[in-house]
Amino acid sequence: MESVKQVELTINDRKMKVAAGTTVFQAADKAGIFIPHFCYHPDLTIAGCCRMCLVEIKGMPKLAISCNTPVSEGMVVQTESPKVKDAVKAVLELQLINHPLDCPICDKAGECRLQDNYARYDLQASRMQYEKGHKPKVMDLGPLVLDAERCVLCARCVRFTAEVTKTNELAIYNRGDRSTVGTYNNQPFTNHYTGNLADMCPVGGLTAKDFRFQMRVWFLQKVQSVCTLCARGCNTLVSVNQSRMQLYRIEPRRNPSVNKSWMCDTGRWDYHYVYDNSRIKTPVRHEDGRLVEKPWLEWLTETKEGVNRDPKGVLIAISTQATNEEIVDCVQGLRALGVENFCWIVDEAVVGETQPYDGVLRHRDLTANASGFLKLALGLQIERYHYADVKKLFEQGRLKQVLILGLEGKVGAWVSSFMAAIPRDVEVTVHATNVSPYFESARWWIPNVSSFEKSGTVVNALGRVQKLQAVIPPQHTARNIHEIVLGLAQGHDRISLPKAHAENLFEAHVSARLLGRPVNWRELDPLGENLASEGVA
Amino acid sequence: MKRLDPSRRILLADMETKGLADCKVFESRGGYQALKKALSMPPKDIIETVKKSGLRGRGGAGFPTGNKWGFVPQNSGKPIFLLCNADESEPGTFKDRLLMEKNPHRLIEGIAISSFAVNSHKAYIYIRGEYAKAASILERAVEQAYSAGYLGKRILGSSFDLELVVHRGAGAYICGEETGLISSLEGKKGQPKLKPPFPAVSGFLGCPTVVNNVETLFTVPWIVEHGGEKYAAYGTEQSKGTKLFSISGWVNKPGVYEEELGASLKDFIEYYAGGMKGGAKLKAVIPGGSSTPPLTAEEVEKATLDMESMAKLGTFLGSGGIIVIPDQLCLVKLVERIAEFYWDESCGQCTPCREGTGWLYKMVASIEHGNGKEVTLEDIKKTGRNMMGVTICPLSDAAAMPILGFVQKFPDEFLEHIRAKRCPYGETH
Amino acid sequence: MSSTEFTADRKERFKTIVAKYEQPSCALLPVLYLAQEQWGYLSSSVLEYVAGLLGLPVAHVASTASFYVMLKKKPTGKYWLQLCNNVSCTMLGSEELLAVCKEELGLEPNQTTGDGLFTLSCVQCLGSCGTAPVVQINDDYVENLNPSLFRKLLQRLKVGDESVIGEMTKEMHS
Repeated sequence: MESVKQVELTINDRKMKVAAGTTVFQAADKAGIFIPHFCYHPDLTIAGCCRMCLVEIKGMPKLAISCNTPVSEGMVVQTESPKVKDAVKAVLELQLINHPLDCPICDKAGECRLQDNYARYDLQASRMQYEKGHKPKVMDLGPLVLDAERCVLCARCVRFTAEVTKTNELAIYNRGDRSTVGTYNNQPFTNHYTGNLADMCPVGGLTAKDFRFQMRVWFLQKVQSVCTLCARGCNTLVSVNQSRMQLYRIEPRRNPSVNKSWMCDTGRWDYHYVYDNSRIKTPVRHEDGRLVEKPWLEWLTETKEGVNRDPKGVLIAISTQATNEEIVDCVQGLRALGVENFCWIVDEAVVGETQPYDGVLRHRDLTANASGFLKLALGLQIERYHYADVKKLFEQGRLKQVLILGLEGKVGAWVSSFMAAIPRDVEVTVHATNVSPYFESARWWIPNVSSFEKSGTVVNALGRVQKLQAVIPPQHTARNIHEIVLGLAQGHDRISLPKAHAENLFEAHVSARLLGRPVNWRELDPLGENLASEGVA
Repeated sequence: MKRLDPSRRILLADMETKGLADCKVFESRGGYQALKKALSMPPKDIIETVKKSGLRGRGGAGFPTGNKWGFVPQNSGKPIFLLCNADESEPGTFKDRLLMEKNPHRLIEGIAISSFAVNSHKAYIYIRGEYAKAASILERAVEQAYSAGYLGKRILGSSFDLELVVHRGAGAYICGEETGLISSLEGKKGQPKLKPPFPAVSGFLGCPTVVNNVETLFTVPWIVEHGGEKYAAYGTEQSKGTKLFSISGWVNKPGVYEEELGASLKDFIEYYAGGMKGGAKLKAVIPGGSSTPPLTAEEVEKATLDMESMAKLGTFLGSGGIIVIPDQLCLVKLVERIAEFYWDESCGQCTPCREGTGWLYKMVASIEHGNGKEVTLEDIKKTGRNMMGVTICPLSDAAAMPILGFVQKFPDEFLEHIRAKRCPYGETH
Repeated sequence: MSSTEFTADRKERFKTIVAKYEQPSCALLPVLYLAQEQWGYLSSSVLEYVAGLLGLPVAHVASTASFYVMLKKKPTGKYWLQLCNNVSCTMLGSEELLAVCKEELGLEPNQTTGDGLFTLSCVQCLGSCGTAPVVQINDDYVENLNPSLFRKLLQRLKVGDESVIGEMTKEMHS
């Protein structure tokens, strides 16, 4: 492989080597040197208009914007010299003269770059003695609300709709200090990635209805995780209020090889099923057309009896929404009880597609871990997991009991088609987070945890092994697959899993199967790691 | 006194000829002979000739034209474009309009020669929208030039092809900035583009692009015809040749005059423009369009019309738009107009310009209308300085420089307003 | 049915215009002029029509139109008076011309007369400083104006005597 030419430069007296073609901003960023900015965004083209990222370069008469200045050999850069600080302060002052300064009622306060930069560089009283300019406020643009007065005209949002979604809803109208961002005739957005606009807005110009005025950001803690609502596995930051132990917001976490800085609106805003009334709260048994809430023990006892009586008559159908650790635990644990039949629950028509169908991020496979299932099935020697194999088993009449494990959220036709194939005399248990009309025929519903309530790993459509982190405790009496398997093994419900059970499982039984070597949970790259190629494992 | 003899004129030599805008008349005056000559030369030699002439861009920035042409890569695999900047909008400047209305074929000839020199086969004249009359004169001339074989395929029997399109702007000063012009021609808002990349490498539609002012291109045929050395014999060390100056304001004979670079400003005002109207006393002169800092009456005495002299006096030759201001008129009101202009015309991209132009305008207006304080003057200075050297294009500097210049050179007039809490010259509206 | 469509001859001119450019997007300004010529100003339906013709996002077309002062986003009167009030014109009496407008037509800048005949705008430098003050009426420059000439001009336009523009549009001197 041809190596990229390296260039040596000095930033703030620190020598560093970066690839030729890198910009001064990127070089500084890589070295952890902060340069203030509004318009620069690593996943958008350079606009160079906010004029905040000015740096002093030896030999250049004027300050240069670091975002558009390529490094050159021997370059000497200052990002904190008095000249730079004065210039940044001056730009900030100008940026603020028409800004409404309504931080107390602005939902961006606390994570506003204008506020942060003011605190860092400016901190002076306003010299501006005149009426500020006025622009549209509280414009309803569908999922977002626009306040054009707060806007700093960085054009990140305009570039996003032009370059990423290619839907071009946004533009900056007029010119000079009358410049106003907006959609054409204030039409609502048409793209499915609007939440990103609120993320990338450095100020309170675009805010998401789902989050605005719900919680001040300084009362939230962010946890790194991944989205499980499709096979893309966008990396996320999940915001939780620790005293309420409640989810408030999901944002994308930058991962250049999976989702850049973006995620779709479904992944971002569909988490409400976690708190929805349709959540299954306890095990429920269908008795003569009635739904009767039951303690876990009753389901365990009944199911355990069935398994003991005829383990070969049991089919375990694992949703590809389950984590790798759940899959391994489930297969190993239940095989120990003599169970032989395992299959997956997934939309077989779309599983394995490696490209998003919308050209951005969304995959048609709405489960997070089909790739993980496939990789593990190989090692665990699960062979007949396809719907066709299952159909044969049903036709042979050998199955008496089906446990569908690990369903989460709103499930689609891919589950109903599986349900429809099950003969009437087979007893079915559905382990799911939320009630679905597809579950009507099941004898038991037992509550599953959501992916915010469990830890583990999943493998996305690109073959990347990524970490899921529990951010809230299990809701109601929900149990994960580990707990169910342990319960069935023990035959009682006084189960207590060791702390960090999933994490330990990953280290001991999963990582080597996926990555070709044992990996410590903590050492698994937060941006995920690629599956080991076949044959290595 | 250095003064250009009418017989030595380069640009306006033929201006009095009746019907010069017609191709036949132009031909009868020796028109398109330079193009014929150019097409027989290797393009490199034309660039060398222009380099030798010392010709610098006449749009205001004064970049050496031959060097600009030399930057165009000839092996990029992309088409090369030549754009004629006819977006003359710097207040006080109206020379290009005259050239286009009176002698459009000479411009077309200059464009054809320059396109041949840089190996461009497609050229545009980007003319400001308000110049509707000039645009229609140009369009007619372009049609004639096509018919006569000076444009189109195999020009004058050579292997050189050139298409030329007249494109009208739609009312935006910033489109006179070369990358703003490119954006506008691409069908976008006329917002200047970041450099790098420079237009010579990646300009119009990402292709190598040369942008030259009307007067610059208009000069080229003469240089090709007479040689670079002959042109360089005019003018001063740094400022070669002759140049058009638009003179307006409080003078008896405003208009466009050609003068050799290095001539006396004072004499120019007296000789060409007929001196001050009504014998008024001169208060200030804006030497090179509204973005250039003013000269005081005292400075006007010693100023000469070249880049060196203007630089020494802290200002610029700019586009050659000379505005003469008499003693009896309120400077602050005129500065308010200048401030309003840049506020109105800022494209709005860069924070310092977008916000600063509006703030400067508000501050200057407050002084003119009796609401200014002494601190306002300090604020103007600080804000003006903060706007300089920190934006994509020079509009921010162009807005700040003249205002700072007036405030620094005529502080008393501002202070009088502030102390009297009104305009001492009286407000008319 | 939408009636926003170029006339047959303008459809031809549209094709000729687009053919001059490397990409249809470059033809946006001339096509907007063409549309303005037909409809008088660029309403939403016109902007949408042009966007469709050129295959451009309508937000792009509308924001571009909003940038340029000669592209009308609102209807103007039959005579669009564009009065330059930059430095040289101010020095030589543009404020007096403004007063004439007020007296003769009752117009302040950015207003249109009730009969739809006149719209007044203050504009930036028109490149006519040597013949200041200047008022552009639609596409024509009327130069070297003074209050009495301007009053005469407005009075004759009021009674529909357009020849006055031609009479007052003098050749520029050098």
